[in-house]
Amino acid sequence: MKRYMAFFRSELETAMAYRGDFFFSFLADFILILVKLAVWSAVFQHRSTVAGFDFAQMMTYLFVSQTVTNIYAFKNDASRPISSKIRKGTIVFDLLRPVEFTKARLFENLGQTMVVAMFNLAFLLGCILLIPNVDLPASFACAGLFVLSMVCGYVIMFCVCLLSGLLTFWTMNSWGMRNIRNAIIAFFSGSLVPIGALPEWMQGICNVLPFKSIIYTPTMIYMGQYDVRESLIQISVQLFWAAFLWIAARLLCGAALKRVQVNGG
Amino acid sequence: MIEAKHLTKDYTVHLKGKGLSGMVKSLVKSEKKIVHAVQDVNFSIGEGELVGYIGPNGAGKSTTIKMLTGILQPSEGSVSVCGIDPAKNRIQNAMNIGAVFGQKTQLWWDLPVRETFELLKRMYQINDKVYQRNLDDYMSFLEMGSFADQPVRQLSLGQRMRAEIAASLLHDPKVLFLDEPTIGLDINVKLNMREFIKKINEERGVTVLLTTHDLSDIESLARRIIVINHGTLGFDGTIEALAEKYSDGKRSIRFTLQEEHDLALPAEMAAHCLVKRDGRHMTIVHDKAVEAAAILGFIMSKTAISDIDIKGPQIEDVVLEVYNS
Repeated sequence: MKRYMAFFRSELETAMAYRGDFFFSFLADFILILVKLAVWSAVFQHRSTVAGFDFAQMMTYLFVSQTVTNIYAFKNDASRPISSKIRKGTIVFDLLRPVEFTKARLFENLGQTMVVAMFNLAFLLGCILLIPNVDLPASFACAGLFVLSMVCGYVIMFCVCLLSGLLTFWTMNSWGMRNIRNAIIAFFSGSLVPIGALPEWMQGICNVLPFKSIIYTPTMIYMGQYDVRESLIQISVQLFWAAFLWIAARLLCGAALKRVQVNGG
Repeated sequence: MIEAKHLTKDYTVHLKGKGLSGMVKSLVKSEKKIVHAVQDVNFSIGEGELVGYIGPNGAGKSTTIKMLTGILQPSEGSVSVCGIDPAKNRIQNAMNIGAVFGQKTQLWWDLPVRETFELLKRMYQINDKVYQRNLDDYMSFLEMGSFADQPVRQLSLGQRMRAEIAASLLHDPKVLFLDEPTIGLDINVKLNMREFIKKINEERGVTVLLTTHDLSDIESLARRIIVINHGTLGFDGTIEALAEKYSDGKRSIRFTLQEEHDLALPAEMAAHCLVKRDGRHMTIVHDKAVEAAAILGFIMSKTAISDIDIKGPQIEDVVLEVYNS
């Protein structure tokens, strides 16, 4: 475990060295919230509730789900460093170290995520204080369960990114794959539209996929939409997916490292 | 210490067709070609040896090193480093070895050198005493004090390579793999690096396998060289033995005569000599059958000379001969 803290620290420090860069990407995501807000205000002019949310709840949903999305995937997509390592051949050094590949990537990613999370949670808090409709967690219990659920969601997101990154060992490029993956996640995770607002049959699909656990579950828990019992059930579902995908990623990694080709020199 | 038995590595290369039509075709069905990067290579290196591993570009040097470090899996045959199979026990092997790849960097691009060393200390779980001793030693020998607190991205190549080799040795590895560590370095840094490699090998008994295209690295460091060409072993032995084998001990003597003179060598000497004239200069390339002293004596008995320059077999020529054979 101690060995892996080196990866956590290296990425934490690297991310801090680029905090200006982080700030600008962060502004771009803020603009995205404004766009979503404009769309939903138009919708709410004609009806008072959507998917069981009134306008104030929809605003909270937008800000919280966007914060969670940003924390997981905005600058710290685990597939990116992997495909860059493979393409540039620097993967030799990852395999030279006395550490397991997947675990080292997890700790690296955690290091970056810490910095991203710090920015975004501070931003969310600012929004809560300044914008009347954006609310704090529904209760202390909700806040605690939210954090737990977000950690689980993070692990699932990390594994999905790791899996797509590892596919670069076969495809040698990950750009297309990443775009498809992001589109799927945006749609089926509740990041783009609350899952409750989707047609029934689509909600059915969301229920059997892991993506809902990434963003929709923590956001609903934050808003107090699930009672404690339901929250714990949802967190168990998250734990199942996290474990399942982690094992899948490790198996794929084992297969991938057997077919490493080192590019250049 | 290092053992390679029937070591073989094949790559599958996907060939892309020419132009747009070729690209579309390769989307559906790509042609494959098998490349034998390393073929049935055998060698054994003992503890504390410093071996030069040379060969032309694309000969399979780096591929061999990547198999010895556990990065690549051999297609056939086996390797063992300190008694461990790197392909099966990569992590265990990693603790025993250090490596520098001159074309790539193992340092964190955005962090200061000192911070990288700290991170490696954690990663290899190096104890404080050993770490401090190594750090002080390497810092002073490689003169890294002036740039240790700068981010790696701001370092010159010479500074970075010194940091690279120090980074590879912090955890006291038993075996050090150096893949073109002196590439692109100026003569000062190169000499400093060579001294350092020598010191590590002699004082600490670290076994070193060195690949390079700079044969003066090999001449000044390695007692033994292994030559690989087209994936197969071409030679394994001392530099002297290599020169003996490939150049037939040919040497050249260049005379500068005081005055132009059209002297001819006696027939029994001329048979083993190649004479080139250029005004007052005269170059005689001769093989082992004639002694330099005999040629010298003969020339001096005929005419007065003002300068003389004798060259033994040139390692470049010898190696070129092996590469082309």
